[in-house]
Amino acid sequence: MNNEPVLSVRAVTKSIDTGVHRVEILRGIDFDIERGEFVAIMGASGSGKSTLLGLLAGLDSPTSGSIFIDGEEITGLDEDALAALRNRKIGFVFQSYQLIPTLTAEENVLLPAELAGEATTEALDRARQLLDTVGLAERRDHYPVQLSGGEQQRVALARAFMRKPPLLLADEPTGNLDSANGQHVLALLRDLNRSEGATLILVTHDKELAAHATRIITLKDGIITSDERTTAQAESR
Amino acid sequence: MIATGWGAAWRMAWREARSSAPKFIFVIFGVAAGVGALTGVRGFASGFQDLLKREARTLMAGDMLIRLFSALTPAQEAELEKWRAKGVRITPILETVSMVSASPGRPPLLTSIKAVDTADYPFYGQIKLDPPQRLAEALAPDAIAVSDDLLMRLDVAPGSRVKVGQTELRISAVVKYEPDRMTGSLNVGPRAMMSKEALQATGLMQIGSRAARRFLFKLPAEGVQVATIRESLRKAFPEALISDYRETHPIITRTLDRSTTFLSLVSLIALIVGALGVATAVHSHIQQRLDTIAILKCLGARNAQIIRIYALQTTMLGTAGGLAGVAVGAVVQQLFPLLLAKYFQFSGLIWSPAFALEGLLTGVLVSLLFTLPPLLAIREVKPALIFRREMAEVRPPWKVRFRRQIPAMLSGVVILCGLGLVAAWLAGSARAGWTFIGGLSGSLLVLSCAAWLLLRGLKRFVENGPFRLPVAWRHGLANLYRPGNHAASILVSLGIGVMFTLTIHLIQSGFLKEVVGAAPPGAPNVLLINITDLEKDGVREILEAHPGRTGRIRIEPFASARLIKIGGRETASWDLRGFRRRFLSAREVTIQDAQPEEVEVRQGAWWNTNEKRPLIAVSEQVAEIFSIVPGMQLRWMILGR
Repeated sequence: MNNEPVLSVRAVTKSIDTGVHRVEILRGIDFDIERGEFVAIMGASGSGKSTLLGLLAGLDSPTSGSIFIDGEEITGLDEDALAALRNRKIGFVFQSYQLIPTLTAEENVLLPAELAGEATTEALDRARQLLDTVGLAERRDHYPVQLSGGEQQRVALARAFMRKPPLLLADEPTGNLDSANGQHVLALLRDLNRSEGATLILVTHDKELAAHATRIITLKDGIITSDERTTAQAESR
Repeated sequence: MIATGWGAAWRMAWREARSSAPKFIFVIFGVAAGVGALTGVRGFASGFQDLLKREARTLMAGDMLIRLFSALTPAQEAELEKWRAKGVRITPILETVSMVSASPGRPPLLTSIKAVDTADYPFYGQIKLDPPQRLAEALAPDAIAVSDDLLMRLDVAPGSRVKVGQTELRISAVVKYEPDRMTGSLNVGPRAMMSKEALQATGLMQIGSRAARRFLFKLPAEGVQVATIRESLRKAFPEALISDYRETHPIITRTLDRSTTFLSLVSLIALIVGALGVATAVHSHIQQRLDTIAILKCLGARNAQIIRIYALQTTMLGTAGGLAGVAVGAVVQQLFPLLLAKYFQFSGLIWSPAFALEGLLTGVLVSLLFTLPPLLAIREVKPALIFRREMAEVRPPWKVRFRRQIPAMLSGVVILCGLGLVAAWLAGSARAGWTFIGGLSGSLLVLSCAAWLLLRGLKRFVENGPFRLPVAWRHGLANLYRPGNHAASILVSLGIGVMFTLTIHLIQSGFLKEVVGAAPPGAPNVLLINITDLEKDGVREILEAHPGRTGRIRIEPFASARLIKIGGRETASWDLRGFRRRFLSAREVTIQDAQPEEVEVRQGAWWNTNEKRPLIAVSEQVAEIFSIVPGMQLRWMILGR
């Protein structure tokens, strides 16, 4: 197995010029994430954690510094190359599910394969198997509006794992769910993380949720104030 | 087979369009109106062209015709005789305009008179008369067949007698249909048809009378090639219009072509207004789908893949509008024959799928062209939108803003060029395409400025006005100038529509005013023509007694004459085009002793009253065209002499 970190962040800064003054959102971030880790990035509102997540996903570019995913530097790639990289290497889970409203549950799960031009019979089988794993085999022909919040998030989980990405980014994945549904989604997330061998990065301000991670990185005012391995590490290994 | 990238795009496009159907319905109507007008006009015009070709012999009432406005020269007579000897049948038709009166107390009526030889006319087609009878019976030497409007306007009935020239003729029938009506030469007022003998009796045809001569030819079954006879006639009658059954009549065709071009461009404008609607709807639709676009980008969709979805959607809208338009067009096409029923008998006007397809494609193409800017803007949607919606984007420096506008500006150029090509193709002329682009961009610029000023003014009024508006008004009005609204583009679309309707109306009414207003003060507004020497004194008497007359009565002689040689050079050798060509055919020549007061001599001098040499004065325009200077010898031909 490749021993290279799945994600390396080197001296990353991000600032925005408002025309009147410059706002520094991230002020020099450095860390590596190893394969199979479950990392929680924590911080209060405005600490820069969502901006950091956007940079890690190649959705935005840093003002300075570099980011490597699977050894490949993503800073400086053009939009289409970034899109292709996201498709192959990153799965997303968002707070508000972000399913495509006009596609069925199954079509939503299949979408990443379809965008890659690989909507084969095998891909369809995998989509169905993932829906089965998240307990929605019976509801694959339902549209998002016909599903509850918990169910939508489970479809989103299945979609995130569709392309077997080495890296999974989750932004407050249980933020919009009640605690029972939240627990269910978290359990599924961890199960899939293990069974699919993906590295999981979770952005949250929920300490309880972060407690499940093997490592917690805390941000404040754009810098890392702590980076700790937790007791959960032993459990997860 | 599971769907590929196109399949997914198609599915998303279809489902999104379906879920937003009410929003798109009006847009579809807009495109349908434009495409309907376009296919209706062009489909009818093409059907009409086919009909003209198919029925060319009937519409001409012969295999071939020549038309001229002067009497035949001996050489021309000989030419016709030559062909008669070879078995070609030739029948002359004389057309002139004269007054027809019913009884002495009633005003006479200006009427187009057509004299035919009933032995041969018409070679093809049939004259329909009411009561039904043979043409030879109806056109006895003392009889006349007239159009129904003449009966109405003179308040007479079949059997009544009317005075034409020096004789009285009996109305024998009403002409319901003449096959060659549209190929006739003079179409002024009601119509009357008589025999050659009757025309002779009227005394209307004298030296100098204004008349058109038409000769219809019927070729024998074998022995005479249409191309051969045509070529020979072309040489013998250089100034005549010659047409044969292999082509459509040049005058009808020209009118038809012009009307088709004009109506096609009018339809294109309607289509553009519809397409602006498509663009606005797609733009607002995309604005509402920014989340979906951002998610797709997060999941690895390339810009091209996303643009494909919305381009497919636009294509769907354009196609739906286009198909509805084709249906409307089929109905429009059926309405035209009703308007022209008097001139043509339309049977078997074919609905052409080619024009339906053409209209459909134009609808889709124009919709896509106008949707280019919102489609290209998809590239600017940042996938990070999903995470950082709360963070309003900072206004970037002008260079960045300008760079971002480049695709929009380029697409503007593409739109204009595309429309120019469509217009050039519809009009069949590159110049029309350029003019269309110029006119359209000019109008868009003016209308955009007007819209900007209006909205700016509105904003000022609402924010700094002298009184505070009620809250509902303030919010309602503010909605018109808030960032990202469509008030400006809606104003421009409306503006184009209104401007266009108004332009057509103004041209129509302005043209008449222009004609009236441009005449010099004191210019006559009543002209009587074809007054014979016998009638001259009577006419003067009537006019002098007329209470409504102001100004002087002038009765002046004139003759139609053709300029054939200038300083030894044949006028036929001048290569004149368009309007100038008409100076090669017969022009009016009048006789004057003293210089008329409205005439200003530019070169040379007017003659003395007792001048014996043959002198002539020509208009500045004629002098300029033929480079005539005083002292040159001009040779004229009057009535074939």
